[in-house]
Amino acid sequence: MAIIQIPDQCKDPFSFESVIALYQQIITQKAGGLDLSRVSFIDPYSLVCLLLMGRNYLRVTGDKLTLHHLPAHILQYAVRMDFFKHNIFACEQTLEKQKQLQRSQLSSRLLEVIEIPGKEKESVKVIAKVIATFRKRALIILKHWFTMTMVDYLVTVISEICQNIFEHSLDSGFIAIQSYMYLNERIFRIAIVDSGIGIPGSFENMPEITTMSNAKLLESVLTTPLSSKRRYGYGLCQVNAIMEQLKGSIFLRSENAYISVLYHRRVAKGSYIFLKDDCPHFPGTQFSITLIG
Amino acid sequence: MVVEIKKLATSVSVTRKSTDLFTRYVGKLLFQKIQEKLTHLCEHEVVIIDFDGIRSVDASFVDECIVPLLDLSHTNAIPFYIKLSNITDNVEYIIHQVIGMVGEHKRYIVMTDRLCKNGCHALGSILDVENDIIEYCVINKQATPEDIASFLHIPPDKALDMLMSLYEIRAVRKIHTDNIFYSI
Repeated sequence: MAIIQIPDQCKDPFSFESVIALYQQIITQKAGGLDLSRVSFIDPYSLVCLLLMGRNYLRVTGDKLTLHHLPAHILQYAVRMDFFKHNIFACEQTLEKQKQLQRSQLSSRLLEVIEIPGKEKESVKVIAKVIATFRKRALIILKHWFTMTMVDYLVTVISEICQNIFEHSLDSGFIAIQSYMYLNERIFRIAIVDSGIGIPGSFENMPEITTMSNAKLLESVLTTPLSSKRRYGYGLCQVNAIMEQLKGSIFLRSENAYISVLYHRRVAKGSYIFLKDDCPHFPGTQFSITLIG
Repeated sequence: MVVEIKKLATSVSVTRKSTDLFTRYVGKLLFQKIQEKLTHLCEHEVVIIDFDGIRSVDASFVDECIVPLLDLSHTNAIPFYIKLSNITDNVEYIIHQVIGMVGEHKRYIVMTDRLCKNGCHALGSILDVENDIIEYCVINKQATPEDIASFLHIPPDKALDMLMSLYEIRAVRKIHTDNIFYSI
């Protein structure tokens, strides 16, 4: 069983596509583990997607995937984000208590990885907890963007996307939030992911929809009140409208397609919506909501 | 009647300490609780839904709580009217988006206690001319078709049709059989 080398492509949803390209190999060849020695930085989206990979591996093989050669700072970050608390990965390294990143209020520019259950009642409780924690830490997390109205809108975004997990994915998912500096840019990112049936899967019984390419379908769910369960679905339309107002960006991936909407780069006549089909297959739906500036 | 939605939310375990109303689950529960309060309604009563203490809502909550409430106000045997008070920008935005989007066959307008970002004291799918009529009623407290006809330079029968259509979706009040319409 080979150990698969993870490239240093865990910086954002676009670069993480190179890691997703290894997913089939990891599952079908029953990889012996993942070597993270080349990873120099990992963002919250890549972290929760890695968690999904490990969970899928565990479900398919019954074994935990082992992580090898984690650079010390990546291990510190993963522990700080409660990455290992979900009991999905085995890790050959341990982090001594004195080397662990502190959990003081001032260092709380993040929301640790939390599992969003797949059942309504449990999920509503967890979403309430996520929102309460986010509100409590918002002043620190959103330091450079903070207004009460901004927090209110982001609360709506979190709640809309998290609800889609138990309503449509038929699986549980994960959320992580963090603000950080990367290449002199301030970044705030919410990552909400699941490995359920995906958006194309949830529209399977709607023939008028299934003729679209998957990327086009992702665009439609963001721009029109489509729902696979009701006459109308407002949730993702609201997320899109709010992110347009906040001049943020949305990265939405499902199965083998993604859409990226970059409102912060929107200029007259310039393109700001990018669709891509024929990406490597990765089950479920993955969201990244970003503010840059 | 004033329904303090924050007080109602404290009786639901997940929103007990929350300033946010979210999910279909919470929406359904709060709609039931509001419905229970409506059993002793008077004819033509204005039901004020007071959002004091609530910072944000989401579309699912609005779809399960506010939309059915507006439906009920359109169809209830005893006519009543809904008015939202103390709403934040977020609550205004989400409610406006959702009820403005619902249905090609069904239209919703809900009155508020403030001048909203759409330049009107109401939210939802409002035509420009309806906006003018609603604002005329808000400023003058009442209006007859003749008032509206002279204000908008349209025939009185057309003004009456428009006022009646706003009454049917409970955006203006009509208490007696005469043609006087009141603001909500």
